[in-house]
Amino acid sequence: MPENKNGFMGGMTMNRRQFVKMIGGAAVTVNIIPITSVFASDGGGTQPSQGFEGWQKKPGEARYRIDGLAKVTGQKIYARDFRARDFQGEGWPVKEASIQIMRATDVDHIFETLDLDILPPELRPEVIYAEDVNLDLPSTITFPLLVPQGQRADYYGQPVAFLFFKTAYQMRKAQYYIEFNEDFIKYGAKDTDPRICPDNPKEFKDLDGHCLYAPLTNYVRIAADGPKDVFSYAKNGGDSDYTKKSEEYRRQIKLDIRSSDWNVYDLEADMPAMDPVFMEPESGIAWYDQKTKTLNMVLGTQSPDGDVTEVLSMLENSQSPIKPTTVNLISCYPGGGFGGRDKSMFTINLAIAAAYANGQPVRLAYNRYEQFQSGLKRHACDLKETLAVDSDGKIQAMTTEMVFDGGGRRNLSPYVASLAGLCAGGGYEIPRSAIKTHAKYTTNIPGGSQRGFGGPQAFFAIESALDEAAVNLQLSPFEIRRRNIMRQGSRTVVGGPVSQKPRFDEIIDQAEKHPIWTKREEKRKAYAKEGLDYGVGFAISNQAYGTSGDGVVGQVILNTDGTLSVSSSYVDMGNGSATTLAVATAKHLGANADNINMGDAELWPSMGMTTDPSYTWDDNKKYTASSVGSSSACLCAFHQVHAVEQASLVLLELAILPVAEKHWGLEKGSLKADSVTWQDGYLKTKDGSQPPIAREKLISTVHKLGGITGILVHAYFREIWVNSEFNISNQEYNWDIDGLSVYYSGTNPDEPPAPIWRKGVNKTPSPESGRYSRTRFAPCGNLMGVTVDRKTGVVTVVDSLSVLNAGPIITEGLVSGQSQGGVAMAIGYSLLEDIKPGSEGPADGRWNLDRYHVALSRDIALHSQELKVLDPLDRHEKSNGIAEAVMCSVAPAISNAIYDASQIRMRSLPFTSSKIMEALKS
Amino acid sequence: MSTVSFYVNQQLVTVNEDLFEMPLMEYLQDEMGLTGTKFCCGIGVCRACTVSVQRQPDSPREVMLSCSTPLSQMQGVQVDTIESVGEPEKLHPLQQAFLDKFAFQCGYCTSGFLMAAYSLWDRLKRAPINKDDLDRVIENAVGEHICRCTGYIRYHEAIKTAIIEEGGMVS
Repeated sequence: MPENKNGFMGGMTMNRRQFVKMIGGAAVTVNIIPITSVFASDGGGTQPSQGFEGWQKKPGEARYRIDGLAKVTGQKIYARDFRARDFQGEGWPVKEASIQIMRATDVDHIFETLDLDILPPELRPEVIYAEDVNLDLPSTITFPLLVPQGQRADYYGQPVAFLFFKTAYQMRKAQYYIEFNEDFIKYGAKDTDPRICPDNPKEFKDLDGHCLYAPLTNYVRIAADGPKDVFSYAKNGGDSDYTKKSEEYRRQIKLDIRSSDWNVYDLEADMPAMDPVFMEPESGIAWYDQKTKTLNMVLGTQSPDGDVTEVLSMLENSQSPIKPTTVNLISCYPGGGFGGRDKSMFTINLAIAAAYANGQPVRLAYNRYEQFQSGLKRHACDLKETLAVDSDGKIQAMTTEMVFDGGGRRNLSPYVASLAGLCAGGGYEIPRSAIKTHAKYTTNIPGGSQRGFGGPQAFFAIESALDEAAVNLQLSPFEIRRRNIMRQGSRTVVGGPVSQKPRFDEIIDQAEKHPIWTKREEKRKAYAKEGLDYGVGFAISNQAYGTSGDGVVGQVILNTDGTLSVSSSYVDMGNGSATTLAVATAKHLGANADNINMGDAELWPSMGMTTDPSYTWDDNKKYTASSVGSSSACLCAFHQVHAVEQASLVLLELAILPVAEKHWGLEKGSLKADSVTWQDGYLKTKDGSQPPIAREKLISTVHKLGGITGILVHAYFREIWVNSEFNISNQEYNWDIDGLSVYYSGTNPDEPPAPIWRKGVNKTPSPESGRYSRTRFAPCGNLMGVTVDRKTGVVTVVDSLSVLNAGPIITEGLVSGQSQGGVAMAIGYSLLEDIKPGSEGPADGRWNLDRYHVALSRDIALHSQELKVLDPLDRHEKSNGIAEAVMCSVAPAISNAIYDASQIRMRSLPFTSSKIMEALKS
Repeated sequence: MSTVSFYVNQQLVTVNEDLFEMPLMEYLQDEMGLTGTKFCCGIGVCRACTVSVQRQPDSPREVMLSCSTPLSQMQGVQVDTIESVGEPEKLHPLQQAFLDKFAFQCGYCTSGFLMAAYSLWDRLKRAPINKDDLDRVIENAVGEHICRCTGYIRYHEAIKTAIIEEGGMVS
């Protein structure tokens, strides 16, 4: 395949199916186009096509990442790799303006203006201020897009002006004058008016003088001896008096704690914000083509569909300088994400720049200082926990209050707080619990959906308190956990059921017999000779994955050459989801997909389904509760794989088996999916009664007969997968999906597929399950060995074991890589990464990796880090989404290890040498 | 007007003095379209921008931080970037090992790790070391590089495996 001068392969193929968004009564055609399909000569998948044949092993297995070759040879796949000139063939002008956003470094004084006089005349940019911008606020943003002149900023990092430089050269020269120059942004008088909580009950709750992001989380549970709770959010959360009653039970729990003879452990802890430090600072180019009224944007995002919706809502303003009838969002491979690109402001800012560029392409490419100053953070958190444990080591009660610093934008902060509420109970059976978790508005840089989504903060609380209890009761860290762990059938702190087998007992057993624990005293003596304290700490987590209800789509196509193509709305952020979905076809179709199309936002709209909440699954055959969500890494192995597997199953039953029946002379409908198997590319009956047929021949026949050649499904999970009944060609089918569309041979592939509406539903989630928060978990335990240098206060992780219940492993290299990455990031979170709030932090625009330290190879016990994955129980067990699971209990395991080493309880992350020295002194 | 001449992937380039302050990485990306070399921190900490250079035609390879090296310092230097290391059809053993070991996820740091390992590869070819020193030498070569996704272990394993399997670099 020839390589063009720009470094990517083949020619442009943008013949893509489109969908339409109605914005302000006007129709806007939206194309979300993966970058690799833009430049694919075969018009095929979104993964770089070079060397495709090399990545596969046998069906269901990958030799290496499907996107690996492009990455290891330096091909253009990231947004930062592109310039306007790369799209010259698509009519883009070659010259692009370079954009720099100036941001509020002061939230107390009014913003006046920029002092452009400090720049030589030839370097002065065009500037737009808030007053120049006539755009509506997107639905999820409360505070102004830019700080109006004469007003103070609502939060640090809020844009005050956009600078338009004619060239990158001019911007680079100008930066010598304006970067780190405190005189460039002019502030006026101090604004002493108290900040008032915005009058927007959908987004804010004004509670006790605090402006909190809605909704608030309040989980109170009193368990009964039987399966039903006395009171819980799951059971009573729909009651009109839930809040009142929950307060009564909260008081009762607190009274029980203080009046009982239980051992009570009060704990206060805090953790700072954390920057995701994904390696590619957010970047993109955009061009508004005035002739065709087309807004083109090239960027890497975890939420392409949502981003387009936000941008279009912004442009609804009657005075908006651009009124696109078409939006092309060309979606690039993100250079890391960890949640930081999920509903980021970057896309909105890029669109603002394009809107005011007078038809010139623009490039917005943050440097690392800007990324620190504006990028979404993991929330800083203050928490209080009280844990009551009886003399047998059984947890009897727990109260937890957590306050997350949401910064100046609601974003996903209240939902992070909500999941933290569920995680607060850890992996334990707790008969009495009262949990409040809130995200508050502050002037700090906004927080978002960082890796762990509230878990790292919540698990720290209970795992630290439980360690104190173990020491006090003279129980091992394993025994006290063993006495309290959840098992199948247990209930969470919201009262939701644990329907899978957590297998914490096995996790604990494996940790307890590991040499890190069994040989700890020998190591303690050995390190003591070096003047170091050595200790071992253990902690577990029961990190939930998915959301409270997840819709997913998956499409599988039989190509005329006998190969398979998969499409998904899901974006691969580097977690390997493209590879995972490519091998997910093998279970039912006996082969991996050769062609993968990720981030395809057109799939859902093409199905014609509805999420109108006035319907139910029973009364409207087009209804589902949720379309498709953002691309969180944890949603792959269980959720997205299910959609592709179901599409493959439907394809087998509707397309392949009828041809096989005809070929074998069997009665129509006599073959079932479980009566056949694939071997070496041939379909066989399991009983061996028929001669094998080659897959290529079967697919070829399907195409010749004009049959179904492609399947697109929608599935919905909340505690269970919705199961539906379909009547097709007088045959009854039942699948774990709620929406089905089909492609027929010979039809235009750019046309939407034909829907086949379900006849009815067999299984739908219970109403109560809407209040379960989550029902899928990826249990994990971490055993960490650390040294503490009493002279310097330096803590070093020297041994690390993670034991993970991942369910069946799809691709070992991806699972262990995710886990090892999680451990490294969590070690950084525990020991190194420290963001100050306010102007002392990265809001000042001076933070980079010279002062924000992340873990390097020397910090992570490189040669003594181990991952053990529990063997799957059986072939029916489902894989768990494990992206965040391993990291969640690392910080408390380290904290507990520090206690074991030096008898100091660390409650403020990160455990820096200065904090350690202070604790040792006291 | 004074100029500086150097080689990029064996191609001679000459820049005049108005570009002398431009970092090499920016020149590679903006002027030559070689975007395989990555910008991350811009201050030479994360090492994502690492390229491999030879100061003299036959001198051992060294690493250079392209984000913080101005073009004024490039006279006579031979620069190799990731684009020159291997072709999709014929990968360098290090590239193949990175793939086989699932060494990276998002891949944005891969270029930096690869070019540092590529420089190490050249040095070991010239001066083999004792196998017992290999872990330490690899740590010296890539220990300052930041990977945020995968946590280093797989990069180290990949580099070690490739070196040992190549033969002649450790004894």
